[in-house]
Amino acid sequence: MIIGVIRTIILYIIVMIGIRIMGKRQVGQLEPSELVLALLIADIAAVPMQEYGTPLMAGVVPIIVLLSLAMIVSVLNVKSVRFRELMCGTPSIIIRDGKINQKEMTQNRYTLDELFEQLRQSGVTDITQVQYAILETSGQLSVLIKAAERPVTVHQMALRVEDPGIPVTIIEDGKIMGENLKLRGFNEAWLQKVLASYRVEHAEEVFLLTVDERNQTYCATKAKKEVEP
Amino acid sequence: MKRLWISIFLILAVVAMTFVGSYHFREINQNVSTLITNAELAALSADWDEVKRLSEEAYQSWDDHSFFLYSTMRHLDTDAIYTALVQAVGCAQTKDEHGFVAAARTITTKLWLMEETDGLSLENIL
Repeated sequence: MIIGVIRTIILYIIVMIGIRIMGKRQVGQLEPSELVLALLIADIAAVPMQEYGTPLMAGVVPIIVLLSLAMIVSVLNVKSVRFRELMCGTPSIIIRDGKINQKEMTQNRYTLDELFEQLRQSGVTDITQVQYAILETSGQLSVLIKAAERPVTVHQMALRVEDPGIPVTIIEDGKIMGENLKLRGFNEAWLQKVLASYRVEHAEEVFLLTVDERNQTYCATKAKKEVEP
Repeated sequence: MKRLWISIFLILAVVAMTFVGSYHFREINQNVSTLITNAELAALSADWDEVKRLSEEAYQSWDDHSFFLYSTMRHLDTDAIYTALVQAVGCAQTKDEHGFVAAARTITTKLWLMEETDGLSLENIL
């Protein structure tokens, strides 16, 4: 059984490397070639994990070949538009200016049920409000509402709002992120002052402490109680 | 483009490795097959000292490459050859002609099948 444990660890590491190579996309956004790769790798890795009579190389070699092929395909996708169209297809406009393109739906074998489901998920119930609904190559539907139907923005109302920017983590699970503290131009004295305002004595008691560009802090202690200053 | 070349190199390296592995396996096969075939002929001539020597040499030759064999071949096949070799050595020691010939035929047939399975052919691809 120890053989199974060791093989599982080795194959897990190799599959993780494969997932990293596939990049930062979720399963629902994978291109067809990437989805094929994910499914194949999972199946191939499972065989030597369970079948001790099958050499480990029988799993490792196909996985290496698949990852190399995936890398070649992804590089060619970037370099050649035609190759990309061949491998991934092209997006299809399903709704244009509030009207459904039935020909595109038939070509993509896209049903009305699927269309309404994705529209509802985008918060749209009235098709006439849609400027464009584009079926992406990943199968997701991108919905662009008509300008007149979109919510008013701060800019359109000529109001001024301060941008809080991205909050930076100062304490994570009790550990002080020294580099982030320096990045924001703060020091230990400032940190102690902030902790005191939250009635916290030590950094180890803090689950999360963040500060944004307006120097607004957020603190969550490990006791699950959010304390306001 | 660096990733493209690295990927192409990896695939070519894997292909080269498989060809080298196949070649090495064929050499081991031929060596063991030859020894067992000669041992079979010696058994038919009742030269049991020669049979024992050749069958033990065949077993040793197979055993010397056990790491390579177990890490590249199905264990079921490798174990089957080991079992038949042990049987052959045992029959050589007890001068059992029929038993030895049966074990020898099993070894040579199994080795031939393993070599066929590992070979680059349309049959194997399909």
